[in-house]
Amino acid sequence: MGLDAASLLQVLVWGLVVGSIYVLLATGLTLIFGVMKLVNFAHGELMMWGAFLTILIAQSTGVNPYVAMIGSTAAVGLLGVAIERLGFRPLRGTAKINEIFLSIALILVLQNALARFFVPYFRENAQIRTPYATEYFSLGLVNLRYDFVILLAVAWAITFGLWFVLFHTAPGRDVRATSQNRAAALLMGIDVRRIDMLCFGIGSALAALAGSLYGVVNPFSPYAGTIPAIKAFAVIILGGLGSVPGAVLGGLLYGVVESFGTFFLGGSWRDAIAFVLLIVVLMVRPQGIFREGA
Amino acid sequence: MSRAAAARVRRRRTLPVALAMLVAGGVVAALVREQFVLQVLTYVFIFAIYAQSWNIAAHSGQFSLGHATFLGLGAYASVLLAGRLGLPAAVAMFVGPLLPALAGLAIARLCLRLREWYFGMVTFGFTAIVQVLVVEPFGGLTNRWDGLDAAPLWAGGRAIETIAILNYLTALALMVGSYLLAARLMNSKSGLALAAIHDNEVVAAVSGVNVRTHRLMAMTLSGYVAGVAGALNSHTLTRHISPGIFGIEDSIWPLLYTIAGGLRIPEGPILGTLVVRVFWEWALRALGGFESLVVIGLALAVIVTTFPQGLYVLAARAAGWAGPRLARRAR
Repeated sequence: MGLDAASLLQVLVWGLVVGSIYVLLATGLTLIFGVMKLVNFAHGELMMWGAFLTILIAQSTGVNPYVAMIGSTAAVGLLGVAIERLGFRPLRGTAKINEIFLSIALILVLQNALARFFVPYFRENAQIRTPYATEYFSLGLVNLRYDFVILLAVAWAITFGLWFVLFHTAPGRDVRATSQNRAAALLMGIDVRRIDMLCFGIGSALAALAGSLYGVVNPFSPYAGTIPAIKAFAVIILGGLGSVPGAVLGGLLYGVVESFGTFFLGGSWRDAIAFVLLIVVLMVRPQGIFREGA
Repeated sequence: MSRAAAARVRRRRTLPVALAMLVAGGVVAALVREQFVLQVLTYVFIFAIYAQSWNIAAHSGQFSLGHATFLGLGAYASVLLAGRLGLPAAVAMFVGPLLPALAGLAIARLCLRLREWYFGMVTFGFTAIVQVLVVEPFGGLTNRWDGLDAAPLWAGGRAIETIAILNYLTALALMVGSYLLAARLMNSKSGLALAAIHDNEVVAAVSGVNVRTHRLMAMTLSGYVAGVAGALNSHTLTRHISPGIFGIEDSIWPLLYTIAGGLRIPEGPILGTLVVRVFWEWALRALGGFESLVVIGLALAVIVTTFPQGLYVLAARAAGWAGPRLARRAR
């Protein structure tokens, strides 16, 4: 394997693509964590539901998969709202570990319900086919797939959109207030339960979008979401729980470090590299890069 | 906790409960001849030991999301000691887990400043790292992804049925042993210290609890007990060990079983493993396919949203004894 600039650039591009998917996943998780102080480990299963629904919509109506993503994202967002109302809300105020338990139960439910529909059609793996699958930009040293460019554009447009809503609109201010101090937000007349529902819905929708984009560049199965979701969780810990800038920076860092680490050390190390990075950062900064709730 | 309350906790009788479990397990062994039932129950006993080890760490507020590290290291160490050095499995099973005990100590030392999610995620990360270490640098010793065959715990020309009963009784005895260990620990002065650390580390330290020593002690002990469970499992039920043991699933089981049964109660992991596993096996056979797992997931979700304190507290309340006190302890 040559160490020439072209292959290093390819590795970097792949790192940015994977990193952008982590950013979407992690931003959703950190948004939910910020207001509700909980982590939904079934985030990865929502992700795969998103990818599956995108294929379903695209194939049944014949629309471009990138348009179909709008529908799947909205559907999974609503599913997230239902999960919050029926599952996590009754657990408020009990031991924190119960929320982990519930999210594990949700993994079982969502994963196998998906497999029930998925396996008869696709057997093991499916991939979202876009009309641009074989088209490339030539950038001198590297060829850049159209899909990569669209993926990066969509991921970053959504991330900046979310940032704008959070920091420059009234509902965004309510979300930040709830995240900073739930009791005080309640006293100021913010309906914190509605904020919970809203954030869980948006977080789930972001997971679905991340899943659909993942499905464009990777083959996926109903079980493919677990590991990316756990890594996204590691990302928000790395960045600082509840911090949106932390999730963005952490996600990119993860994607790039993982991509280069795998390139130099070999495939067996791919999952371990991410955690070595996490452990090293936490030894130095036990609260993550940004402080909680920033 | 006041001195009187502490004394009351200490007075809880654990020996009669342990004896009752031994007798009940013995009666089942004498009556049941179905191999499959014995096998499921042996699994329940082994994983109750494993869940108990998680419960011990959880009692000090160290909620590990990567306990498979200790389960797997115990199994590998024991299988290697028996296979390469020719140690009898019955001895290797207790010597091997010194490795996960050491790993527990090292990980606890590294994570001393971490709590809650941060602690959970780092422990999870170690599972992924240990898996790579087992497969890559130590691949020559561990046969990489193919894994190793494990020496049987009970062998020597016995009938399969006899071996199954012996495995069952060994697992039962060790489970009761781990129960007594956990109960004694939780009811002791050290147990109170661990509970104080769980509730509030700063307050515990100010009250004179040595937070550092107790956290390290709990994780070392937990690592050892989990290692014994892993070794027992590979010498009896699976008879094989592979790096797959460092996957996500094996880290989830103890958490699932313990919380379903009752978190930070010595009886919790046992009840939880029994109820969840028996229901699980029933659902798999009665419903089959993906639907059965959906039903199991829904059942678990209903358990936790309806009885967040676990089945043991529910049972205790229903039986009408000790309910309020246990409820208070489990919170």
